Amino acid sequence: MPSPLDLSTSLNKLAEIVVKDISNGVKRGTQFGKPFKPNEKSTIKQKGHSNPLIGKSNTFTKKATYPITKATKTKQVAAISIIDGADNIALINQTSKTHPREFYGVSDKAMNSGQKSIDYDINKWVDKEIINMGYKKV
Amino acid sequence: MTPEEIKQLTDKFKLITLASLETEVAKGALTLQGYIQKQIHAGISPQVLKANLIADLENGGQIFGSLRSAFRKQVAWGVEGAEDSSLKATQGINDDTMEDWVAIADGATCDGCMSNANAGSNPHSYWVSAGLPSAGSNECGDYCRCDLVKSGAYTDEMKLNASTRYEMEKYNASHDKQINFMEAQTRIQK
Repeated sequence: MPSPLDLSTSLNKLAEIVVKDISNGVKRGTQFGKPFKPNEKSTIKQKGHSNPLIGKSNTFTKKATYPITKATKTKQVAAISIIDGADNIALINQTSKTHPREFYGVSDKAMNSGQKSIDYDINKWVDKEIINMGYKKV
Repeated sequence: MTPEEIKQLTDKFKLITLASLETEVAKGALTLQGYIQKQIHAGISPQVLKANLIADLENGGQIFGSLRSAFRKQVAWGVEGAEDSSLKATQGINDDTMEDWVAIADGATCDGCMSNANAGSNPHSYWVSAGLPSAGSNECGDYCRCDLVKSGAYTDEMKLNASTRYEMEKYNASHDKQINFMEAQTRIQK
């Protein structure tokens, strides 16, 4: 029987990349290849800056806002969430029809970065399988 | 909508699941095992066998193609439709699509990314040859925080606001008397 492929390390790394990417997207003001809808002039005046999705506490730029449930060898699922209290504001921004600011999700850029780690794990697995099938280490 | 329904919607929205696919992995393993066996019978050297498998992995071939695409599809978004809209945002991009390089307007942006951000609109093919964000062609390497957006979407006003934020941060880091966003904007426009 072939040995199981363990992607838990890669999944956890991917989760960290996704969180960093979401946080950077908020700092940058763009995500999924498009800018967020700008704040109203009155909001900019009130906040003192023009960064959409950034308020006094900078909640959406902080990694701690997006807790990760890590994958393990036996449960190869990693999950990302948003802390209570920030989730409803995130939902409003993400799904608003008039002021859409889709910032939460997995961008192609994050997925492509994570894929490198997944490919590395598959590569290691291939080596192991080749040896298991009777070849010497390549 | 009841509070309970709102909670359910929020809970569903906020969970991003990243998972490997047990079935696809098992299928991939059997395909891999069968492939290796055939190669052994054919007298293929382990070096050639490894090279063929790496090529299959990199090109999404018959052994790893389904595993790789299934994995990408399996990465789930909490909001229904968000996956579609994020994918749509990258669809329709071809070599000639004009795009702007957007950097985070703070002091931590590397010179290469800053230079790209000031390079104006360029076709997608130009950015591919220059190195896409996170491709490792700039000093920041894998830590790149930049993004490409279709030209026209990132307006002059947004660019001015980003420059203002950068000016404000740069000024405040080196002066005791801090300036606010509006004062930084005045400095930029002078």
